[in-house]
Amino acid sequence: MVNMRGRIRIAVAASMLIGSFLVGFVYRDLQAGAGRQVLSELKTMPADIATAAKEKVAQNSVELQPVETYSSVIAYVDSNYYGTKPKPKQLTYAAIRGMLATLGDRYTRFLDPVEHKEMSEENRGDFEGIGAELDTKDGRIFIKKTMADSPALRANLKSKDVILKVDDKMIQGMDITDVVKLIRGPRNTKVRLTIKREDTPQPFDVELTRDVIPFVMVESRMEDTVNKIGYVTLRQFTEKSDADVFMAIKELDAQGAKALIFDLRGNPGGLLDAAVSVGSRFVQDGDIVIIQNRGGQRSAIPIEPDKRDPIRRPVVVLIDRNTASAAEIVSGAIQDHKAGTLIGTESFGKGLVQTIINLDDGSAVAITTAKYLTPNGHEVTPTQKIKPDITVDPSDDDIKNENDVQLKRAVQYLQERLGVTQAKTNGEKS
Amino acid sequence: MQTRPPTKVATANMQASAMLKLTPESAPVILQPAKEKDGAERDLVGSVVRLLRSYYVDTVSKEKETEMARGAVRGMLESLDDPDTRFLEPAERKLIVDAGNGRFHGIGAIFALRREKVDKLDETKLVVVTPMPGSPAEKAGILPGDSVAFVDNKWIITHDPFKEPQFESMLKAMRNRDVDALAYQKAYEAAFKKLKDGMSIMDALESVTSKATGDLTIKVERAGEDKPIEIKLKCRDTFVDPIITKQTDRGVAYLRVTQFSRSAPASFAAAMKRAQSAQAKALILDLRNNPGGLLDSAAAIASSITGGGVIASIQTKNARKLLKEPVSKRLTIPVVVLINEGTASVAELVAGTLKESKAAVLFGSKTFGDGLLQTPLILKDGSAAVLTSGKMRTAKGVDFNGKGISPDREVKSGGIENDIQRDEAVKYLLAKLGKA
Repeated sequence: MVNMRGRIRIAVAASMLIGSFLVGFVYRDLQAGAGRQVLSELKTMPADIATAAKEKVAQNSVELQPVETYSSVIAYVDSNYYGTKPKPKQLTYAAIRGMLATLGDRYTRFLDPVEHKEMSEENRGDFEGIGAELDTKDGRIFIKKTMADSPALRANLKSKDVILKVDDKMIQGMDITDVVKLIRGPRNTKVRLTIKREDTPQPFDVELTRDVIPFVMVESRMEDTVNKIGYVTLRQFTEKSDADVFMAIKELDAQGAKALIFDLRGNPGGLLDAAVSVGSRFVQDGDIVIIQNRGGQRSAIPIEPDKRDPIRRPVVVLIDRNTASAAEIVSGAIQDHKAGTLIGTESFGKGLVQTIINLDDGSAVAITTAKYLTPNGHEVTPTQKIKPDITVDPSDDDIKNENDVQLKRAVQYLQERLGVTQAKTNGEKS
Repeated sequence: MQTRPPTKVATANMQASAMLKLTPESAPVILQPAKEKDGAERDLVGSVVRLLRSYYVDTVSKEKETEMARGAVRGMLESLDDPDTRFLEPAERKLIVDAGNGRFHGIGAIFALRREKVDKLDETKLVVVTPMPGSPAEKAGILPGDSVAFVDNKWIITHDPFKEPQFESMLKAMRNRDVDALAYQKAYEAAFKKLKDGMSIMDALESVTSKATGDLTIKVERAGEDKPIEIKLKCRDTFVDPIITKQTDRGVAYLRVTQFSRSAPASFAAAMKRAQSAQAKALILDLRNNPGGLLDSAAAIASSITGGGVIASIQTKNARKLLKEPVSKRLTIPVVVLINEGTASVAELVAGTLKESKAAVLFGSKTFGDGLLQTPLILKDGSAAVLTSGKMRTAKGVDFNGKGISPDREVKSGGIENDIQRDEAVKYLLAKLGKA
């Protein structure tokens, strides 16, 4: 029977797409967190292409039933295969993956229990670990920052503490992502770090009890302190996104923000519900998105009126080629309702909605169940993307020199809208 | 599943492992209903199928379900990570059946996938086991052991470009932030482009083995050559008899077995009869460039020389059994078997067993080294799951998988024009017959 125990969760899946990991990658590494999914996407990608390349047209009229065929072949392999015995469930998972690959839709995919857990953590916006951001320099891995109210902070770990061992395992020469994997683990379990601190002659051990740590998905600041132009970036749409974005805007309001830059560059998407909520912070009336399910039925999702922001201010949304899925929903809604100006480059072009359904053994399937359209009825596809109102495409030199021309253009645009002179804040921040 | 003859190892469906070596089909293997213990896992697959039927954004048609079923089998077999275990689409299987009947398409060669580690990189190479006699491949000078690197200027995806040392070190540097994002992005894009512009190994195999007509340009890597060699070929179908003979000369008969197809034993017996009428006193059995075939056929031919008895030792998942042939008259004339690096699978087995039983002397060079057996599970839509099902050893239990069988007398090849190996065998046999 179909096991739909647990809730069916509508998610505009937060898959890191080809190319999009670059942006995602950098921030993820800084966080003792989710580097793994990015890397695993990277690894699975070639196989994905190989599978796509292999797909051939059926030319035989005799039909096969997937379940019956699977059962027969697995029984046959079980009793006849001469090579190394496959791990339990390996064949079943591989069968499901192989089956889904024939749909030619990379978003419809199987998540084994580990991948499912990681995705759930991401959607929830937290993970289990010690809450330290790691960084590396000259082959040494050190603590960059401890997060608020985290085991790392409570254990008095300090910025620049160099990690020598994790649970007595030397980490010299290891990749930072592998070290992160060692440190992460279920809550209430313990991990021991051997630390070398600058002013302390002898290395010492610190034992920490892992806990649930929120991902930092939102960051904000007053970008132009003179003209009061606030800046909020959202990295992914999780269950916490709306509250976090709301808090960030309120803080900027308290500092007297007159205009807002909302940065959705590199945002691969996330939960549909979160997109609707966040969109409602910017759009005054009407719909955020139109969902078109199988059979072509359309249903519009209106704004959540309680989230409507009474303050009217000029808004710029920054988008780029890695702005995908839920992030395209929000930018599309803001554009259609003229609630802000889009600056940057064309978006990724993913107008599909996945439903994640839990299966009996802790695994799950993400199935593309619907398409979405912007409130004005525009489909979003790889050839029909969200187009910026003002195109700003950084050159290779800009990227190399970390010259954020898109952000600069946004500041300049808002300064013009606010009717202030731009000379004061152009160039380096004072 | 097949029913096994009670006294004998079930060999009818066992095939040589190098690719495209399946011979005419035996009765299709019948699907068994799943066992009770698969219940939970079966339900997992069932759940996914039902969810797709109910919720997937596009309608899941019956044709789509057939594709899904094939995809499931392909996924399972690929997860075993064994180059000899693979799923065959109906069209792919037809090529193999044709090859077993002596009909070769494309460039007319037998290929194998070979796993290698090159500079810490896992490579899967498309290796020529044997160019068939009279084929475009043979005429163009393609040799056993050549590995195809490019087809029509497309790189064959022999490895994951993202695992190349250059990229791995870039990835590591990026993670440790020793390089800037742009340099990393360039490396990523280069690797991605290589992959995107490349041709999957299965597509490459298909293009060299299925094209009926037309030109094909391939580049092969050859041991001892620095650069890939470009070869232009005109594809056409090649028909190959299982047994090719030359006129008996000064009492020396010559029989070449091109592959151990189902009809090979009968053709072999007929050829032997003709040789006897021509007063043959010695035999050259040429197994060079013989990619293998059916274990049964190989056993029958070996047995007609050794006079029956144990031909091979077969290890399957649960048992090790001896493959025995009924006792018959042993061939009493001196025999030289010619072997080379294109002698593979059951052909190696025959060479090894003849050598051990002192029924023949081996001339030439070391064989390919493939001792694994495959069994195809034929699905009702005409596709097949080909599975490594066992390993064969010579009668005395010598494991030649990955090692090959060495000749008694090493004789280098003199090329197509100048068959030194055969000349040496003739010389040796004439000396034996006192006719030197």
